[in-house]
Amino acid sequence: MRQKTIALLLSATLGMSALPATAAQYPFRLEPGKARSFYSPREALRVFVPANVPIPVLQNLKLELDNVDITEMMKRQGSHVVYKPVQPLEYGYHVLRLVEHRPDGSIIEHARWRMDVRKNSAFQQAEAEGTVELSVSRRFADKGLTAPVPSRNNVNGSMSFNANAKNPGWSTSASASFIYQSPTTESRKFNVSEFLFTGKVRHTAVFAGHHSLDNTNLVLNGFSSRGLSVKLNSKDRRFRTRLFTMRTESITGFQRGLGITQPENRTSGVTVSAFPFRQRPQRLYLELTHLNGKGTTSGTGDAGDTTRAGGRASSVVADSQINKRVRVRAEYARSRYDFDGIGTGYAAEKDKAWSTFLVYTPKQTTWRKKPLTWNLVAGVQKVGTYFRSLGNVSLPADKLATTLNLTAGWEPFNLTMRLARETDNVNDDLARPRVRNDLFNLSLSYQPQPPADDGKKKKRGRGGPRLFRQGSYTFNLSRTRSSEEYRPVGSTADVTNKRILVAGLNASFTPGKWNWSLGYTVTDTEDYANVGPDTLEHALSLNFNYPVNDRLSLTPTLQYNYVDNTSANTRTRTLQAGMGLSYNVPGKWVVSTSYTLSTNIVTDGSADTRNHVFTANVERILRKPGQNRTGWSLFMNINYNDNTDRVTVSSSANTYQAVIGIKSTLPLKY
Amino acid sequence: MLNDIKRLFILLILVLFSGISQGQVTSVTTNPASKNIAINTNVFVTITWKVARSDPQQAGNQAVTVTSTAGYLQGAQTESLYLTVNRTLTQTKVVSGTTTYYYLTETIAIPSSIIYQALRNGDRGFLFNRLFSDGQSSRSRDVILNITGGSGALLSLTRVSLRFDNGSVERVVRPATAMTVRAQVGFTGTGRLAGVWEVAWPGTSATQPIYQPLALVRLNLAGGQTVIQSPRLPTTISGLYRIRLRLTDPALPEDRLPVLRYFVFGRYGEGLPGNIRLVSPISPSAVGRGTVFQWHPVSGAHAYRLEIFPMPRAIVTDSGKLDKARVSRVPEAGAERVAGAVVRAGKGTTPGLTLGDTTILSRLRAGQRYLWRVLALDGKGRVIAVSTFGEIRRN
Repeated sequence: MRQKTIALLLSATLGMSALPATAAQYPFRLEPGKARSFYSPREALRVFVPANVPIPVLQNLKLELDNVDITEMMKRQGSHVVYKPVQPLEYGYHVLRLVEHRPDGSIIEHARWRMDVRKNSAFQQAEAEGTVELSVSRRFADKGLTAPVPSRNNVNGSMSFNANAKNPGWSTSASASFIYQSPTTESRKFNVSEFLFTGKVRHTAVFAGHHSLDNTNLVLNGFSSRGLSVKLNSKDRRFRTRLFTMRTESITGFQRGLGITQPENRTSGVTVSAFPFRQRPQRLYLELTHLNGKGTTSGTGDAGDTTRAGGRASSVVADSQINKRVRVRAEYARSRYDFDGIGTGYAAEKDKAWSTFLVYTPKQTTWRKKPLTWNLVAGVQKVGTYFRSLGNVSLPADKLATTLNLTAGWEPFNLTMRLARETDNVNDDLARPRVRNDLFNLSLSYQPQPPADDGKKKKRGRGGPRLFRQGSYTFNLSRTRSSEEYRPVGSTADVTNKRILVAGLNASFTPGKWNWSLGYTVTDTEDYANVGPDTLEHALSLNFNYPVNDRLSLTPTLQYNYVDNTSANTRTRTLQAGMGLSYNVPGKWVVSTSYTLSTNIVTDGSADTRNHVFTANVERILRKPGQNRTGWSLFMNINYNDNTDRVTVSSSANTYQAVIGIKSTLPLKY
Repeated sequence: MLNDIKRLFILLILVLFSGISQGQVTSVTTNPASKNIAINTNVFVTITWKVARSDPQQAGNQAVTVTSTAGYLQGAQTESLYLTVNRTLTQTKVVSGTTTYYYLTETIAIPSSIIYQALRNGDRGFLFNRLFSDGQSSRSRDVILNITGGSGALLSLTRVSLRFDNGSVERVVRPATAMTVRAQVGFTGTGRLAGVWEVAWPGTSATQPIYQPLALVRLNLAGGQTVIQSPRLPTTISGLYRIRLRLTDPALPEDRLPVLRYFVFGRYGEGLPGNIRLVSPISPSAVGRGTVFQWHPVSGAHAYRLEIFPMPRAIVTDSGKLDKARVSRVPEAGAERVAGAVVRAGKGTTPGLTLGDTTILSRLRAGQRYLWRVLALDGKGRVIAVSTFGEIRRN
């Protein structure tokens, strides 16, 4: 390794003193930037090195920029050492540090400078960038399109935009993306996809547009939509409040603005969280959430309930890391929800939910000179039959679940195991059965470390056959047993009494620049009540990713599924085989083709389909886009689909579409 | 023109023959015959109707169509009509034996409000009825839907929600962006889910897209909800794409299948950074003054920046291992770099540095775990290649 110190740079020109001296004796100086009060991102940093620095000190001097040692990149210019940033510095404050790194390992700091890197004197940061793309195309050949046949001429485009500005104490940013499509199935040809404005002033932040609320509790979990929220933090961040009002259903597009103007499709609420203890704040975390909403759970990207209903929900959480080994969390929540629509039909239903879990993480031990880590999570959660919150629509209701999770690691093995018992009918409705599911899951993975690549040619056979190099293996086993704990007399409901057993093995390998994987799963389902069929299913998958060279890559895939339905004495065979090809000559050609064959056959004659899909996309770049410079390219897309359905003959189709066009791309930056 | 006349003639013959057929619809059975549905949630119920039609006089090939124009959801006890499904099921088959079977599959959506109202009205379930006719004879059949808890016998879908891996429902991205879609699937009961991820490439009409299968989905579900991740989405070609998870068993109604759109910009620059292969130290390793960090050279590199991050708690699994799905997002997740060094790219040598020659060691705490990676920068400061993360621990 080359070792460079500032001494080597300066010894030729500076007068050196052999006398030892203390750090404060040397008036190192960072020269101001061109603007005197700040630096620009690409501006060279010049440090004046006084002549009286002794050689032993110079020999051990190092320069750090934001904790990164940049000594190697320094250059000498007279009595200065100069660093020209290898990458433009980010806007904001940076720390340049000059230290003496002594042979005994000690560090003496000789100088430290705080630099302000700014866009200009008004803004520390002010940037805007975006991309605009528009393509005009014509379908020059087609077959099998159904009436009404779409227009031959198409215009597609997109625009994305990001801007931000900041100064000490505040920052603001905006981002938005737009899609233009003509003709279209959407409500408008030109529409906004998603947008977000954020503004932060000291300990307060405002979000307007698409964003997520980061809480995880029984009434608010993974809630992401368009709306408005304000986050308030105390100075030490121990106390936080978030007020929000969001659209209940997911949307895109200009219509509905911020999404909060329709009370019948709005969810509003507040979360308050606190770490009451200043010392060791993790000893207790408290969180209160309350929300009130109306709307549906369907929307863009969602197929859910179309009922326009609503209600309110509240939750309180206490979480404590009692010590290094034990963590306990408990939550209680209530809801009041009107299932058949607000103001109509029956009154709203009240219900409650609670959960608690304990995490035990023992001290790490060593077994056979390798660290052995494990932990245990035990939890109970009960969600009432009528518990419902529009902030957590994916929470399954009417369930009491007791779980035990074990995870363990001992290089190169990892184990996760889960035992759970779930029952429904938690509100003890005597007219309904109570079903119990006993679940067992186990996953064992083995990922041996590859031998260190020391650059020497390997001996033949080292590490096993080349095809199986750098392998990782995962074995999965799961068992689900469903039965009835209680069944009302005279119930006509289907009897639940079945067992599902699943075993699978997945292996992936990276013999070189290419990789491949293999998976096999067998599933045995036995329905003792004969409500559903008894089946034995085999699933096989094989995937390759093979970059032939820097330009050409191949991705063959194969998936095969075989289901033996022993109850109906039928067999189902599903095959999907495909080949992808990608060819890229940077700045000139982009080619991508893909072919897929899918078949699905059931021996009782209820299904018999064969489907071929072929796509070919070729793009010839005429002029490469650059910053604030338009690029042009010609393109052709061919899509072919041949579907043969021997059962529902009317579903058979033989269609293709071939399109040629021109597109322009303009990247913009300020 | 001649072909069209031929087709018309054949069709006319078929219609005429079907009109004089002496057969009749003899039975209608369903799969499933009955089903439990959950008390408090929207549910999608997939039903396959098997219609048997016998024709003892059958002498030659004829095309016979069996049709049902609507389905009716009635209360099992009160017989109140709760829902009318105005969807026509029809199938035409060439009759070649004495008994011909028709398989017609549909998925109906029952909103939670209807289930709730039925229960409060005193109904413990529903009967879903359809009448099938071949034009001369007809038969009807009920499917029994019992209102029970969420752990009922057969698997039913309650909700499918698609999001890109950054939480968006629509994205505009640069080419070669690594991107997937996550489907959050809600269900009741236990059992097998079958489906296929499909993508429509640019160039197919917006109104009549051609979907290409990406990957089959076969899962056995229990527990009420699961997340299914798509394979990596194609982003090589610029233009507008559509992605969907077409669930086939149990299914969603075709008109309720959620579809996401994404747009890929044309190529400019050289695309995303390439990869740097790390040589040493192997991961995980204990490091000290003499440890040499080395990696494979990158063509066009002007300098390399080695970066070291504290091991974020969020990417360590409960067993203390790295969560590989999240480890690549360490800097984006706000983990602050604790140390690093910039080295010049030499020619013909394996680039790297010795830890003791830099200030890095002084910033690492004994016994602590860290992640390290290397970035290659070109002469303009652009990142042209990035390594994966390696794990180290200070001696």
